[in-house]
Amino acid sequence: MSSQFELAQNPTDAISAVKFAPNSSTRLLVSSWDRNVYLYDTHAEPGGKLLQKYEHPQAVLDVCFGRDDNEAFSCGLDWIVRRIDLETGAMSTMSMHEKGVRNVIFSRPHSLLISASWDSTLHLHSLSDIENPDTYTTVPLPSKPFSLSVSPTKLVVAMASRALHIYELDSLAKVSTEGGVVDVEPWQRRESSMKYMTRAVACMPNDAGYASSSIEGRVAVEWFDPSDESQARKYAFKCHRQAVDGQDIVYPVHALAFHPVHGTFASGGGDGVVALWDGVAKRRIRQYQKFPASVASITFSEDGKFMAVAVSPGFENGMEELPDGVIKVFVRELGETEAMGKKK
Amino acid sequence: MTKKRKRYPNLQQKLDRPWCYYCERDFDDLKILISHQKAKHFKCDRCGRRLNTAGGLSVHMSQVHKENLTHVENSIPGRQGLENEIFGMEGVPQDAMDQHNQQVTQKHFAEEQERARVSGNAPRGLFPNGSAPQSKRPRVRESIEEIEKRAEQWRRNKAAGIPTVRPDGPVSAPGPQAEPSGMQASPPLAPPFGAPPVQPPAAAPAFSPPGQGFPPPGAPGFPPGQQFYGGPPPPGAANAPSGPYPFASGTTPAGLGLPQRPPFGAPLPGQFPLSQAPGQNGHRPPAANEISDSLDELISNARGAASAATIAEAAPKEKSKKEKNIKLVFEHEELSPEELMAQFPRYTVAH
Repeated sequence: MSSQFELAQNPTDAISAVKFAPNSSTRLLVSSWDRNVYLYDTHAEPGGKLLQKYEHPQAVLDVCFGRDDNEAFSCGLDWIVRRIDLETGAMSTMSMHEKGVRNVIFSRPHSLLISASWDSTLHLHSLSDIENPDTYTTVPLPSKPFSLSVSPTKLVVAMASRALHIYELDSLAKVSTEGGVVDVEPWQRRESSMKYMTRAVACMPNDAGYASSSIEGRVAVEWFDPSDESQARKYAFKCHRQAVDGQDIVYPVHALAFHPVHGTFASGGGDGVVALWDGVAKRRIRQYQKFPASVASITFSEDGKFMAVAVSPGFENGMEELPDGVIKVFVRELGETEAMGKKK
Repeated sequence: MTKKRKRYPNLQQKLDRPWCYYCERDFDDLKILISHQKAKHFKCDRCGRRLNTAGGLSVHMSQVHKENLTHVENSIPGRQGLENEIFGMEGVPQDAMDQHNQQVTQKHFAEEQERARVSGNAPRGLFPNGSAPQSKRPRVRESIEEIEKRAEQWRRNKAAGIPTVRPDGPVSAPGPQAEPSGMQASPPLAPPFGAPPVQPPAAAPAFSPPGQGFPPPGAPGFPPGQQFYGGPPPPGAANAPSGPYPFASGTTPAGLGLPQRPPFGAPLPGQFPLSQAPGQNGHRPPAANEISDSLDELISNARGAASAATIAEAAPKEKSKKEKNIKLVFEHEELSPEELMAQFPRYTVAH
């Protein structure tokens, strides 16, 4: 009914992101600190087949699919946002930031590519503007962005200093063709409901709200609707902790991903645990057997049938080198009701 | 045709029912309990296989699906662990057993009390062997000496001009009502003249068995359809002691001309067999000398109960702030793990 396997050919350094293709649930992109982006067909042969490898000058921090299954965008420590033609392997520069680029994300309904860099800016690229393909708009942010997520109508940017901005994609799409620097007023400014640094953010597929996670083993669920009633529903809970000799070892929650069909979400932590949660019923649906190392990234396929979990050695306090450890991508075929929320 | 009397199970019948350790549901018989446990708690959510115990499911999960079972599904908090090997009623730890029995007992008496209150009938077990409730004007057993003593008092009072009480109080009932013969000087049930009447039981909430979270009458959440407006005064309305109490027994304080209520708790056999429910020390039958304070206590208890919820919510938060015994695997104010990693020599390349 459900099965789990690991990809046979894995990156050689820590994995930064895994993403499923929009139209195929077996096409998987993996970006890694080993300066490569990998494209797999997860079911072409047992253990998946590495279709192609796209070499970058420096570590790749994020990757996403573009308008179709043959277009991808990557970003990383070389400050550059790249477009990759997955068919030919041709790469072209979309824009250059002034520091490392942490995230890149594509909104299909708005045909808008958004990149977020540690230079505290967003770059907006309209992919529907064919006349000026090189035009992009810079949006300044109050702090360094750490994580991006898009819902059908919103962009959520989680930043340092516990800041969080929610933008309307409509207004971002409007300014994306203008070029230059445009100070876009966010639809909402929020402060993280958690005390510690925000680690990841993920929007609900039904456009109702988002979940965010912190480095201190905690996940918060909030709603976009600014009414008091909806805001009163927000909550946060502890997770990814381990009691050792009366002391709680608290792991960062590196990864969050919503299931596109059931609206439940997965969290992945430094403890190597992936748990599925029902954010509405406030229930944990299940927790999977511990993975051999810290969970770096989680992605669900568009049809919700597969979940890919990237595992890399965890980075801890005061480390000067990344420790040796397992670097692997696990693909799990989900059972019919496996990620379904509680009924009622 | 008279209406068929509804049979309520007695306490022992309730205690004998098999119940599920994981969810506290009770069942008609053991077979149903076991099939409940297999379906609700020991069912593999991967393949739907129903195992007999949590341990069995754990082995199944790890062998067949390569997964670790961490908790029992659908179980109440605190009973999710796998360490108890439960099968039907086997393996239930004694403390859980005690807790369950206590809850059933409390619920039983609460229900019985409630029925008594609503129907106006005496609670079962109050009058053994189905004997009729005592007459409203119970027999007073007085010895000849006592009657003489009272008569003497009456004469003295009359001489002193102190008005006499009306003779409809049971105490003033003349000799014929008293046990005619063969009785030694039995203790008088009636208080002597001039003695303060026994206080009405003001601290009525003491009546509701502890541990049930029984709301005071009229409080939100009180079961609807149990009208107490027209009926006998509910517990708690004791400051209006005019209504006839359904199970009024005992004697009438002469000075009031009212039926006296039994001190709560006393005449009901086995009323609080396990009254020391944890966290409910505030509710206990008041001793006579406490009664004057009991109304205030009642009010403050009600207030306390109302605010208890908010306190209970606030308390754990404060606690977690205090107990700082946590170790963060990653803790940095401003730099994310990626930024720190990016500073490693192997990733830094001059631009």
